[in-house]
Amino acid sequence: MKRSHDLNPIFDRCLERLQAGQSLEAVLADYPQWADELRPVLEAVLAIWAARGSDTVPVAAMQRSRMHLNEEIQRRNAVEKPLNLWQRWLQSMRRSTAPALMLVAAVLAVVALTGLASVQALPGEALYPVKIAAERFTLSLPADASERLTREETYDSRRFAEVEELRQQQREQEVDFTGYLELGEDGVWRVGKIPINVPENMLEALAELEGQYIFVHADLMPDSSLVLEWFEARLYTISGRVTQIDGARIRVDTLWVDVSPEVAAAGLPVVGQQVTVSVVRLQGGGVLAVKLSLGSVPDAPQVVTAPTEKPNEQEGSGASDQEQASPTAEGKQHEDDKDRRDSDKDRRPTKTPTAGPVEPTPQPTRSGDGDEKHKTPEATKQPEPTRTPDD
Amino acid sequence: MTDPATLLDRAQALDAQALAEIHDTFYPVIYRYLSYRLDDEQLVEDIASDVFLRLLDNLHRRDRRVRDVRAWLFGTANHLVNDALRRKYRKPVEPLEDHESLADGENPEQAAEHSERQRAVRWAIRRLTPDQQQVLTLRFALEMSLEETSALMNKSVGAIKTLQFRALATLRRHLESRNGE
Repeated sequence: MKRSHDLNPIFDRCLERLQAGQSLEAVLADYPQWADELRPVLEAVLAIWAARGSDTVPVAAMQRSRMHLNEEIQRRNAVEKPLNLWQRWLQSMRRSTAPALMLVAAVLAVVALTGLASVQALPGEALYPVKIAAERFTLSLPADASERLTREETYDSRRFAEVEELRQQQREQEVDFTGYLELGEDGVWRVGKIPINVPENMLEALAELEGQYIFVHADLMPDSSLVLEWFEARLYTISGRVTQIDGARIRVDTLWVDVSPEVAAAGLPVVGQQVTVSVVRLQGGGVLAVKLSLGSVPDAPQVVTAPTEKPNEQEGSGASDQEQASPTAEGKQHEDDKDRRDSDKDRRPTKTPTAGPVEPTPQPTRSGDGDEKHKTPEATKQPEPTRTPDD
Repeated sequence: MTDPATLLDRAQALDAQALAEIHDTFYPVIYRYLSYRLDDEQLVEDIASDVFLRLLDNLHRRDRRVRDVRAWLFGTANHLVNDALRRKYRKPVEPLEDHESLADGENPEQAAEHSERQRAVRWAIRRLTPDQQQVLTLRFALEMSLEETSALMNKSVGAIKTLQFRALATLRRHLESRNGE
């Protein structure tokens, strides 16, 4: 093999000299030690070169080939117009990205199908945690006070509908739901019209919340009856900026909130101030603040403004408003309040937290100049808590 | 000749003129390559034509991008020759007479002598291995450089040198044996 490698450069030089027109004998004379090996291969080269002289290409064959090719081009062009550069680029992109797109589409389809399926899920079913996680996620998204309250109420309605469905299916399951607490003439306690069995030791505490909107954790029995486990006033925590003040009412973003005298006594916010409010729903509509945390005060002094529209049009309904909602700078506060409420639920208190006794709502105290008084709706039924469940 | 890359781009869009230019440029060299490797003139013509139809088919389907049209044509020609040789080995047929034509300025005696040399060399080449046939055809019949041959055969230049040396030595033995018959 080494000899072959040594021969290669010599062979190349011999080839060059032969191509230059030198005779074979003259070339080999310069490499006598390699002559025996070089002669046959160089003679073979010369034989090929000698035979090459007349390897003509038949013109007729070339014309036939070209004609055949032209016919085929015309046939294909007639069948399908070729794509332009842009179309070809798109096609190549589709080809190269098709597997990735298919994977993404498959993942999205699975996520979408799971999400859709979870909407119908009931407590105790495999996809129910997905449904709850999705709701918590939407609650964590930025929203103004009114929108936030609307979302929470929507999910409360879902919990209620789930309990109705489970009762129809006569399933045994722990359930959570909300509703107004009423004591019927038949002596049966009902939450959102659903009758519940109340253990003796809870009757007194429960009676204090009659007429209020409460949160209930109960055991659903196969006979569709519900046994109360624990309960509390349903509080919604909202954060936003005070955009208007009207007597004992404050407007947080686009939501009007009644402020109880006890809460107002601790001090009302000023317009533009950031606040976090724990509210309860009132039976006649609207929401009542039972706890008020004041946030940062705007730099410029604010003037209390008179309402420009009838307050009742926005009360607690989450109705749309033309005003731009303030961005929620209090996201952390939201989470803290929510976590506190969740941990309260987990504790399952044996003593019912209370939002205060149900009394006829007194006339709200004055704020600002104090001349204007506001009478909250449903004066005979409205709760006026003196302390929050967190207290 | 138009720039090969531009020509190929136009051919990609099935531009008849671009394809015709590719055909006319490369047909002679492909034909010569085939004629060294096959002893059937009709088969050589068929395969030469088929090489360009396959190029058209490839451009039309766009399944594999043609980057170097010459390399693609020789590669396809080589595959078609090997296929034809495999078929021939399975079902041997008597070779047809080689194509003969008078070169300019040759008298009949000279032409006969040249034709005999040509037949002998081609006969000897066709007894080599496919790689040996290809390297001798590209290097010495079509006068391609070592680098061009290396690129077309997808081998290193060193491997081409070794291959061509052995091929020539074997060719020489075949020629001797033919002369000795």
